[in-house]
Amino acid sequence: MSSSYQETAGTDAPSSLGERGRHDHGFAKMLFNSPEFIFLFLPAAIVLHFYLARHSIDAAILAAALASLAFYAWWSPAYALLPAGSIAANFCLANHIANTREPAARRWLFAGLAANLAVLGYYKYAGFLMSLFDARTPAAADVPLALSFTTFVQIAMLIDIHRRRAPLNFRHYALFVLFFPHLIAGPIVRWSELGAQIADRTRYRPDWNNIALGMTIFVCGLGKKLLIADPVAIHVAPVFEAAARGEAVTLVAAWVAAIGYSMQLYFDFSGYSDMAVGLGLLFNLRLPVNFAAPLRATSIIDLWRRWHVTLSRFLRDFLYVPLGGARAGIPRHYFSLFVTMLLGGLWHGAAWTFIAWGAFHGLLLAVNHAWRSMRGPARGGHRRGGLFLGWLATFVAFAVGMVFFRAADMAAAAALLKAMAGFGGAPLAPAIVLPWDLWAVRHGYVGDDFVRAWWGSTMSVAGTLRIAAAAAIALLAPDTMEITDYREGDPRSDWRRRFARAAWQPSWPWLVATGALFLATFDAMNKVSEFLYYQF
Amino acid sequence: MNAHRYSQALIALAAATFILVVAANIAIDAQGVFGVSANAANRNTRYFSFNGYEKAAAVTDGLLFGSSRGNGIDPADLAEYLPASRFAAFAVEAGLITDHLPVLEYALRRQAEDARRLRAIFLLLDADLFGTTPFTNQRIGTQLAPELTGEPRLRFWWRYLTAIQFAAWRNELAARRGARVAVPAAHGRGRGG
Repeated sequence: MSSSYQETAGTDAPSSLGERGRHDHGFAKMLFNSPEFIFLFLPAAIVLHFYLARHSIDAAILAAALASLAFYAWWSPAYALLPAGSIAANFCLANHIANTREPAARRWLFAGLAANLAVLGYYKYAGFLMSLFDARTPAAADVPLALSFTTFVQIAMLIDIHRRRAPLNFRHYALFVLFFPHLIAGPIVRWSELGAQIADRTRYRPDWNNIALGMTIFVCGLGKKLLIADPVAIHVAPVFEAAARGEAVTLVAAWVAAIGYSMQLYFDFSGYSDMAVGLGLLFNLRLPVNFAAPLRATSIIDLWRRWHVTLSRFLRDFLYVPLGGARAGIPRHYFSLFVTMLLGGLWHGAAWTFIAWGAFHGLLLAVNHAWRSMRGPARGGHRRGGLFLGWLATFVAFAVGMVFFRAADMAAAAALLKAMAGFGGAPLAPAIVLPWDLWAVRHGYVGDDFVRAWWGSTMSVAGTLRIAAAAAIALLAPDTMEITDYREGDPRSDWRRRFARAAWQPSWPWLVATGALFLATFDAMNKVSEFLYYQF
Repeated sequence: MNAHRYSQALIALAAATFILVVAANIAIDAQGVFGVSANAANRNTRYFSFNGYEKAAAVTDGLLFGSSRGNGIDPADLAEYLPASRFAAFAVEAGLITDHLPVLEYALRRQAEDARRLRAIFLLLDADLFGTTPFTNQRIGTQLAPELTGEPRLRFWWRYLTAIQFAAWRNELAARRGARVAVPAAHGRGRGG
């Protein structure tokens, strides 16, 4: 029987978006927010790793690498051959580059880059490219899990090896690429930062400080995903789906959905990144910070220094700078920015919507740089009003961009953008088709006509309040990395606020808070959905 | 409190919660999938109906697909009026045709493999639910049987083993308490009798 009926396992409440691991290949992905991962796989992997480390560090590294491969193979055993083969090939190539003189080493480097990109292109972009020629709608690509991330990690490694000419250890390299906390959706790690940690033999004994910190960060990430991102998602989806069907969407519903999806994506992906950092700490490996409270950014330039930091860093070092960066004159600078963001958008998926999203942000960055060069450096710092306007413009632009990111296709994106401009049409269906506002309407807290006029039939007042609460948390509450003062890969750290009283430390109040948060997430675990960035 | 004790306390909390949830799910068996509670108050009607069909598939040549209103129809009555000798009833809460499609596809394939054919299918759906999201696989109590989804059986049971479901546990325990009180009364041996 087809597995297409396998969708969700909820507990007591329905969840229209809930999806506990789609069975793409007859198997489900093992998600960080699943009981099998938390209660079976993770304890087994950690115990095995540190037990073997007492006898042989090489065996411990190998066990962690194999456990990571098993984590990947849980999704599809057959596809596990792809990362395994890719690691073997890149390892041989890297060592060859390290032991070869110029210019041959450079040629091997380019051959390696081309081969990695060719594999990525074959799986991710072939259908899309073909559709450009035969004018058909491309079928959804069956992209192997984590391919985009492992490709970038290995490309960065080859370039790093070419620069430093240091040969690799196979076990270390395998663990570097496969290490399950970052394998599927980042953070995109560098050999220069993780390779040295793997080689450090003092890291193979359990460190209770790291374990305490790691578990706390992991639980915070779980909370972001299960208690904020997923509950927001069920309100966002109907609006985007209605726009895709060409149905009427009101101005309020369109804006709430765009902002809601911004919240969903932020809490989903930053929650995942928190979990990855926390898991890394359980193995005494420090992964880089991936989100620096980006929704508080006061400019697009600032936003891209704080959103998906490791991808921005990769694009800057391996695309923007080689293209000329800021050194080759203003036209070239803006061109470099635009192309970098365009390709960054394309990296997220083979679709015009992602290309449009990347181009939109490329334009915004160019405009932001032009504005800065026109205005000159701010004397005596920024005023509060100016910062607020900067934040508002950044936030609105980001939410508008999210429409391209979330929409099924360009027509759906255009329909929603039209609705955001106030031309979405009047809803024909009765307002209260969604159950969320029924209680408030029955008790007279809100009128049916009021809901129909402003929210239409796709968004609810309750959903709007939930999204507003998520936005308040994103903007006002301290971020996980602020609370725990975790700073790996975040040398500037100028975005952090001071939370002296709320700062995490191993204490009874924090134990109670973390334990309560864990219990709440466990309750939500059986209606979990996949992480959005798994699809990239 | 040092990091060691903090970590140990968190690990102990997680482990204890997990063990308690698993124990509660087995002992209470709110959906009746572990065979502990044969008449579970919240039983997964999709799973139970399918199991019933599986046991009698060789002699079943009629299917009743309905919403919960279908529970009011006796399959034996249907067999009297429709050209099928035995009906399997699939009546589920807010049942739509999309809820029943997996069963229909499975039954058609099964019948074809056994060189038999279905003779009648009776639909009793709620028109006012058309266009709404089907409940199937949306809740722990509406999961389809593994045979229908292709899901490994172990994973199906693992889900029921690890789900926190306070409302279902409470309903099941209340139903059991009610049954204990009601049964003696029915036999004239209650408190009043």
